[in-house]
Amino acid sequence: MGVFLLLLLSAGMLNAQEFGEDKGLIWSEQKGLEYRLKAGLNVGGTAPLPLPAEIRKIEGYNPLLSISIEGNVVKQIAPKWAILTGVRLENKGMSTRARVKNYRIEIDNRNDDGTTSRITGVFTGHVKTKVRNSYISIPLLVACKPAPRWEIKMGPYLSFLTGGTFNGNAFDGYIRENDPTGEKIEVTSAVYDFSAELRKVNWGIGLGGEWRAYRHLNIYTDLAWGLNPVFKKNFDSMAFHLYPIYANIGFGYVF
Amino acid sequence: MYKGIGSSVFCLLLCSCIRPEAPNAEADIIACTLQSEYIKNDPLITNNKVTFMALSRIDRTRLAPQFEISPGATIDPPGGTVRDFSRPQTYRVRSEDGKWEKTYTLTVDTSDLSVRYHFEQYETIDQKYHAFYELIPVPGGASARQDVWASANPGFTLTGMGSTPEQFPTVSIPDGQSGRGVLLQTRSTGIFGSLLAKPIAAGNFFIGSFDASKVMSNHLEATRFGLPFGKKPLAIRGFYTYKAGPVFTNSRSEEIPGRKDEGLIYAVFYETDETVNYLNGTNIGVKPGNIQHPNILGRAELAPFEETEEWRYFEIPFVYDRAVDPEKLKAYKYNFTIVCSSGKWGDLFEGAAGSRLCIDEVEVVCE
Repeated sequence: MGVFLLLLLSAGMLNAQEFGEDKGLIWSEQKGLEYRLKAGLNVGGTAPLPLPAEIRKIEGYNPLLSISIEGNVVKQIAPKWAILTGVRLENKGMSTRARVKNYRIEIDNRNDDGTTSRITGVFTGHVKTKVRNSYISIPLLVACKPAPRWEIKMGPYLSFLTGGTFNGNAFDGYIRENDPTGEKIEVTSAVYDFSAELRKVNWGIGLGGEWRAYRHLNIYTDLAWGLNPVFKKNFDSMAFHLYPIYANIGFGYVF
Repeated sequence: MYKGIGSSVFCLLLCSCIRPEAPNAEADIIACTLQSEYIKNDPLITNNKVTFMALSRIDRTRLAPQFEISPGATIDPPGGTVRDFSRPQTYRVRSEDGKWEKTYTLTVDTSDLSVRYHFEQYETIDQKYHAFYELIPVPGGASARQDVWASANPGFTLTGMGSTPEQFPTVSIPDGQSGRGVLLQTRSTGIFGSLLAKPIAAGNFFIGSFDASKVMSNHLEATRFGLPFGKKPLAIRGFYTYKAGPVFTNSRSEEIPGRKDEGLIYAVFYETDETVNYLNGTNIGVKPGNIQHPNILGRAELAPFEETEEWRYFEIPFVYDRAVDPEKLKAYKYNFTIVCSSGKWGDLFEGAAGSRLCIDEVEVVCE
């Protein structure tokens, strides 16, 4: 909660500094422009869709603390319609624990002479995954106001990765080399780290709803559905693609 | 609070999409039994071989092994089929999902463990590493193959570090003391190994079998030392060369100045019973406080272990703590092993990458 108060306060300061005696706001209003500052939490997953048969059970999930801060410009284009864009600084993270069966994993091993060799196999056991990615995202949404206090939005967004970790460990199970008939090797715990393989640019579709609780305060929930996989094109250490699908819930200040 | 709700909603969403379990993809022989009083020990089952060691009195022409296989899998011919095991027979196991098939060779070996090893025969497994075997003359002029010596090479494949046999810890070399010989070398295991705090792999070579499945979980259980032996060993002899690697490191890859790597050659004679089928890396050695496994009757160890560039002859007498029971000897209730390693502390992953031990022309002197 403290975070929100702080944000609201800073929003107030911004208001006072940049728009002086509301001259700017009045000018903006005449042009059909509105400014918003939003803060929220991302809850979701970087997950395969649909879940492959290799994943047998989700044994645990933690959304971690994934904060987003967003500044929006809204331009009225018709009585009930507007377009919206802005900049969003956000974290998308989660940690999961799953029981898997014949889950393909590949691990690159660096040799003394600098060459790389790859260990390929299928893993049956438990896998813990931790994702913590930060993005600068630019949404471009069409907003519709079916009722005075309500607004629904939809449109694409583009995300640029500014920092990311994707790692975890495989434990309490066994690897079979190459395929299910390969040499069986028991695994107590083996770590993996695919952070370097994360894609720098993601895009997807945003869908959201906003409700004006007070004159300056909105409560909103947005869904950002990633449409390209989080890993680079040539990444084949996993047998399936992972997509970032996150819901964002929070408050917005309307100037 | 809402985070809690959010996560449980998400979890629910995900869990509701769990797909039906795919049919089993594995095609393993998990266990195998032969109804015969002439079997010396439990069969050795690897990923594609099943080996029984039997007394020569057994009638190998009419045996019907029973199998336990992966759930849902099928085996052809089925368990209980009477077959002639005068020569090895093959079995095809097909996985439940029908996509995978594996062929096992089942051998009933009635030859006795050899007492002379020349290390001339080897094969290259998966085009990657060497595995050794001996050809034992059998009556009638032919020779029988014995897979007596094992190494940790099958475990080293997992590090992905070896692409040619020469890069593996245990390899056949052309310039042995006489004919070919065996080179054991301590190798780095790369990033993968160091993540597991197993930065090096000492080359090892021993009479017994290697259970690769234990490499990562409990590596000391991977080395199963010893095979049934019907004679009382008095000494082992042979030839070796040894050169320690330059930099001694611990399991965290930290250099330990002043420590020097050492090789290892020893032999153990021990009793098998209902609870002890074989000794492994956890109990073959002399434990701290000088307590050795109660089943061990005698051992022979090359000490002090000296470096030598030229082939050096060794003869190590057995020292017995207990008497050997002739009846048990006749029934093959004793196991015998010879263990060689390029690093004495290889089991702790301490040693020097580059340490090299060569072994050739090993002989067991028996009573």
